Amino acid sequence: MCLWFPEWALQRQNTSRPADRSQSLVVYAPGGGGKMRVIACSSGARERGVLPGMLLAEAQSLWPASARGVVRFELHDPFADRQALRDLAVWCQQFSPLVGLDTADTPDCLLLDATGVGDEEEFAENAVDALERRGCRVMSALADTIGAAWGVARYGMLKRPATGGSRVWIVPFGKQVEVLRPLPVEALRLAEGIVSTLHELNVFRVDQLLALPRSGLVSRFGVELLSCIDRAFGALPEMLKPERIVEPLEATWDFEYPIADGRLLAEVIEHLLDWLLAKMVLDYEGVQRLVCTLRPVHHEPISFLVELLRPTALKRNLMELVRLKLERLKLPAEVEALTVRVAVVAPLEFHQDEMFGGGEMDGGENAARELVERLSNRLGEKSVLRPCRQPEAQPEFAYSYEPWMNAPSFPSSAAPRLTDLFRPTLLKNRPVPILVSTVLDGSPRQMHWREQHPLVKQSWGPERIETGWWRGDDIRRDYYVVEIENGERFWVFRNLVDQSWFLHGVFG
Amino acid sequence: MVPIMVSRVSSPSTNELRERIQKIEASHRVARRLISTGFAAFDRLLPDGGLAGGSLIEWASPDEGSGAATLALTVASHLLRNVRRKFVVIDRTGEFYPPAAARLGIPLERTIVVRPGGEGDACWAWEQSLRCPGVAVTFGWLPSITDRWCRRLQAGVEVGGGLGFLMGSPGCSSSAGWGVTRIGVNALPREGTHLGRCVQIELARGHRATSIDLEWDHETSDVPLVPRMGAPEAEYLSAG
Repeated sequence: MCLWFPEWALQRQNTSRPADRSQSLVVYAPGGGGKMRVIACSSGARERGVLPGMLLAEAQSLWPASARGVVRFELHDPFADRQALRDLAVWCQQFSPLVGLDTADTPDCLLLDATGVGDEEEFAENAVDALERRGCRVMSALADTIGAAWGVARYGMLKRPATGGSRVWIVPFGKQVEVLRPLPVEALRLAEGIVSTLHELNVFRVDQLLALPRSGLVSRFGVELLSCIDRAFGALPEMLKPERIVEPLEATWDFEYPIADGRLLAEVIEHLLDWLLAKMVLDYEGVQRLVCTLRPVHHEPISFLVELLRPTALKRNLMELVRLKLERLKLPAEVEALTVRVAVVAPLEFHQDEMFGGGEMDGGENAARELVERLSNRLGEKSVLRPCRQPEAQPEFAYSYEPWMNAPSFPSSAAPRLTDLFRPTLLKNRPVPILVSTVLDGSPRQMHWREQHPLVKQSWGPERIETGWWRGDDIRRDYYVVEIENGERFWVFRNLVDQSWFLHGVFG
Repeated sequence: MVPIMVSRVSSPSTNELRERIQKIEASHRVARRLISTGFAAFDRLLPDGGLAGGSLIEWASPDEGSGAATLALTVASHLLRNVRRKFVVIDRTGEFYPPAAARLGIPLERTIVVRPGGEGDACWAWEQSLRCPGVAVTFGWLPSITDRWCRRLQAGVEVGGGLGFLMGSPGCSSSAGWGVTRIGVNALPREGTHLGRCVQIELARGHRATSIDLEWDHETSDVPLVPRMGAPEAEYLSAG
């Protein structure tokens, strides 16, 4: 049986924050050209005019700034979506002992083994009932093959025959070909490229596809298309990979006598990691977040977190980060026990090795990732940042920082035109008050700063910036680029509210 | 009487030693990758016709607004255009302004800004970044550092193979020392009303220093105008 959760990204956000359900929700992700686009939105957001595929900035503009409390914009987190679905799969083991996820990169279906259940309809209705009570929106189909159940659940429910209000479509034994025939070709779990090519050939439905000769399909599309067809119709077997109830991945070491030596602590952590990694390696899983808890004698436990950008099963990488943390740890007393817990587990990513050279082909991406992990774990993730430009006129807000550890691995959005203006390389954290003598037209003639009085040789401006009223801080400034006698350049502004002058940037 | 045989152990003369050192240096130099600054005149000023990969460059300037950082960022953007590796900024003061860097051609999506808390952390972050083969340029300001740290940074950048752009603090003497290529940048007043920038670049070579005047256009950001050669091969007494 296949249970499909339409717009799972949206459903997951709603179920994880039930208190915010009254808010409209918009989930976005990077689209083509590095621009953020809406991928899913709640009915409230749709009523407001938001549509999937819309630019995020366009969607944001549909709400006034004062109404931001009624809408949430969430970045799509495929990892969290997958994890939530895995949790749901474990919960669904009350209905069937074998529950797995579909094999898509971003799964949104659960597959339940219904072999040997008595009343199939009752079985399916019970599962759907329970899931709806949990707050899930679900469509389900039960068929002889995984492929047929998947296709019918996703594409068949809208075209289903009247079945007396049942929320489950049970495909009769051996009838999967008949049921799938009128459905769109997407119901066969084909890759996007194959679907678009079929559409170009005016093949939209499964029956149209089946009318084409198989030999021609192989030469045009390769064996993948035929495999999908055969799996859906039962000519090829398909295995279900069930989710297991995961034991907490945790290991504790009690010392015979308390110790404070950092090297010993590291060795014990390494030993515990050995044990934990051995348990994970069989499932091709790695550690993405590790929590080490030390229990000093007569003191509260001290925990530190080791976070990685991508999961790893390499002890060397993990221990390097653990040692960086241990170096900076101040222990109030000797440690009598320590616990290592794998807080986030994720599937390992595999890449083909390079035949020549090391690291040049991927632009040193792995090395850079390890650098970010080292820097973030030692200095704190708020100290290792990725800058992003913001479409703001006020110089202080024309950029923002996000921690590299939280930053998704895609390029930031294209440069807003507003920030392509002439700007200094160094911007003072706060504008520095200075005295400026001016000429008749108001442009600066002489600066008085740090007991120096350089004459302004040239100036460019004013560039008027009037903004920020919605932040409660009405900004009205006239900016000038000034070049003094020796060729140095500064960025100064006159505050139009009180005519005071400030140095804001240096063309260093 | 038995004659005493004196075995003459040939000790290398100073000239021989010099030759050996030159050979070692020459072989080392060949192995290093040369990187263009993006300015033909600037490349010609440099001993090997470009910046050697795996080296530290100190951009020294007596004045805060001289344009040294602008020039260094322009050179870095030229380099980053040809490689996919990262650009790291060690920004202790928090004054690095990303919109200006982006305008100079720095790809912000490949920029890692590190804000270390103290000097020790700053030196550690510099070393880590320089050692990383995934980083093309490490850029930032460093307070005066000890010879020991300088050697560590030097060793680090040789391992990583990238470039370290150390921005000297205004008014301070060289923040780095041994093994660092020191490029002096002085602002020059510009003729005309155009926003283009004009600086004098000075490079110490042994006891001589050579300099050029470089003028480039801010509007096109990275396309240099034909440089005006100012007192080529002018001799100065070198500070080091």
